Amino acid sequence: MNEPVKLRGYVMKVQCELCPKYCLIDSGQSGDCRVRINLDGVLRTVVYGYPCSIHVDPVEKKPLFHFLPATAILSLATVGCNLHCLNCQNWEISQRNPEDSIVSQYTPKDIIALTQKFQCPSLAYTYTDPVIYYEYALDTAKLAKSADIRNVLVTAGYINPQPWEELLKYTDAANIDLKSIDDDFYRTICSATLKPVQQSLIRAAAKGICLEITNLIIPTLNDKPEQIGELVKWIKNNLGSEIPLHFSRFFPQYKMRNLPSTSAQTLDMARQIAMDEGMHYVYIGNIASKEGQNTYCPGCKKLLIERSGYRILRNVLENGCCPDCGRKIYGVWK
Amino acid sequence: MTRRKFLEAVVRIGSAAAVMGTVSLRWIAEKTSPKRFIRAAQMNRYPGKIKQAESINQQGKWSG
Repeated sequence: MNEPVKLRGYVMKVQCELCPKYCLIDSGQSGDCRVRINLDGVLRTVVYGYPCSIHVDPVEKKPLFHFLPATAILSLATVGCNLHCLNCQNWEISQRNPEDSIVSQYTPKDIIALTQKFQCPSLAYTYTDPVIYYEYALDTAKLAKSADIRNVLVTAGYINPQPWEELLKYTDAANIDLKSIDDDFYRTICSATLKPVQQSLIRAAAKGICLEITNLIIPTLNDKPEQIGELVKWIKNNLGSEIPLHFSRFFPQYKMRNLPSTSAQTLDMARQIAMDEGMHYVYIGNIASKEGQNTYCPGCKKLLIERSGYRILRNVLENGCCPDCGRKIYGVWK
Repeated sequence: MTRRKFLEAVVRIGSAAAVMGTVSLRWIAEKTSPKRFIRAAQMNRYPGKIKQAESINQQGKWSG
């Protein structure tokens, strides 16, 4: 532990190197995420063991369409976030100060016991961003691994390489937001930058975890065909065409209530662009869609998994392969 | 004391002072620069309210 030095009562600043913001934090103050504070010259996490939300969700809600379909997943979050997206759908917990929030108390061991109690094969660190409750997520993930429970991250991927690599060691699947392919979008809408997110995506794909990507399409901000085309090209060139891609519908929220919801036509257009570019699994979320929620074989186009909302209506996969042409379908199926 | 011995003494003391000064400055610089952390330590208590979690087995209302 780095011991702080007090000079006539003046306590040194600390620098948090968990995420690319590198917050320089005065004594008694918190970083940009609100939950990591400098207490007498030592960086402390306020939220370790104090989730603000724990629920059993369908895994399709994350969204993960290629990971243990039709199973339940214990999902937890603490308050805080290192991004401040103007359109955040969960802003009531992500942009809240710990002192203003009501939470419950669960050690990592308690979380594992809950996961087993509700017979969930996997555990999701989600809703806000596991990056800001890193220590809690990491300790819980280690215990989960030893208890044969799979770990799932739902994150914006805005984290530095060293802690990311450490967390990935215990991660089985992740849905990472790629909010835009435009750095200006990240800076002005999310108070972040694009490059660290791209690096996190590349590292996650290289680790071989089951990776899916979500892109929320916001009217006038990232809904132009050329923007979508550029994003898809980057994914295909850097991560491959097998990575499932979810285009998600925007709803006016938080500080972005002046824009309309994304139209079904725009989402269909995005899906078509991605499929034309050669992506194999492209989905549409937050809206009812017939084809946009199903999984088709990239080889013979057979309907493999039929979905309605978060429900699986039909799944004809055989050992993770298409029953007609035998093609292996990307994902973790059991 | 001869002039030579006097000058030798001055050089010796000066060198020692320079070394001590450098070491001190480095120590001060090291101790006064921000301490860097990746991992944060735990707090003893939560600053907000704590209550029993409810309806865990129901689907969460939050996105994700």
